[in-house]
Amino acid sequence: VSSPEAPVIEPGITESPDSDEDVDVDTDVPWVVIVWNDPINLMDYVQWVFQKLFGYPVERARKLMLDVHEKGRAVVSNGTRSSAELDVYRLHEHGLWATMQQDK
Amino acid sequence: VLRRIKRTRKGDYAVNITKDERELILHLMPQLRELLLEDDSEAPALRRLFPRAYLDDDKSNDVYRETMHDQLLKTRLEQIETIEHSAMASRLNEDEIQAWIGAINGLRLVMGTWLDVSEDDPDPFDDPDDPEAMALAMYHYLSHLLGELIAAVGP
Repeated sequence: VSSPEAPVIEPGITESPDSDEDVDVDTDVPWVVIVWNDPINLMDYVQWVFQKLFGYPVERARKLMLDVHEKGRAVVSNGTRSSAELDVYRLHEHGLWATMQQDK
Repeated sequence: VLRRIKRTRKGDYAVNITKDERELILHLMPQLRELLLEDDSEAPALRRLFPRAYLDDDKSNDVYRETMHDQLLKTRLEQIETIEHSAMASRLNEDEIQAWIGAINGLRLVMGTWLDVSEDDPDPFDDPDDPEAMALAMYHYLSHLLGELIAAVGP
């Protein structure tokens, strides 16, 4: 919500996005959180962590766990940089091998 | 199925594991604490417990580590303290069983890294002359216990 002092953008003088070189295009690209396969964490445990941390229903958590196990990795969440970092932190807290990167 | 660890109607957990198992847990936890407090961030087991957040961005990874490492360490140390205090208990509350899960899995991560386990490892009792047979047996026991804990807690 803008404050009363906020500048009002007048119609007609707005720039088109591609004319503004100062815009950091990367900030708009969502971040993805990836969990990698590892030989130690149990399948039931990984599925349980996905359900616990993300509230995923059992079918989705199981599918993600199987993707990790069979394909070597799975994207388990996405969002802003700070939300991705929090998810990575919570996955590390639970001993999963998680990293984050921009979804380019 | 006769479960050794189960949720009670009161919402806590009844734990019917043996005294030997509880003593094994009490024997192993101080070793996990000692490793966590080691000042060697390059030790493979510590890299496994405190992994990178960014694969190819060292700068962001350093910032992540500076911000998060102490909190991750604190959580792990608190879990060890909780499991040590409740190792002999026949009933666990929700916080305690969550700490058991974290501490037991932390121990598995460390032992699994030391033993360099793979997904296709043979049965640990196949070769009694293997110098690592005892550690492997403990690792597999902890895997079994973790499975029981997860089954009791549920999603």
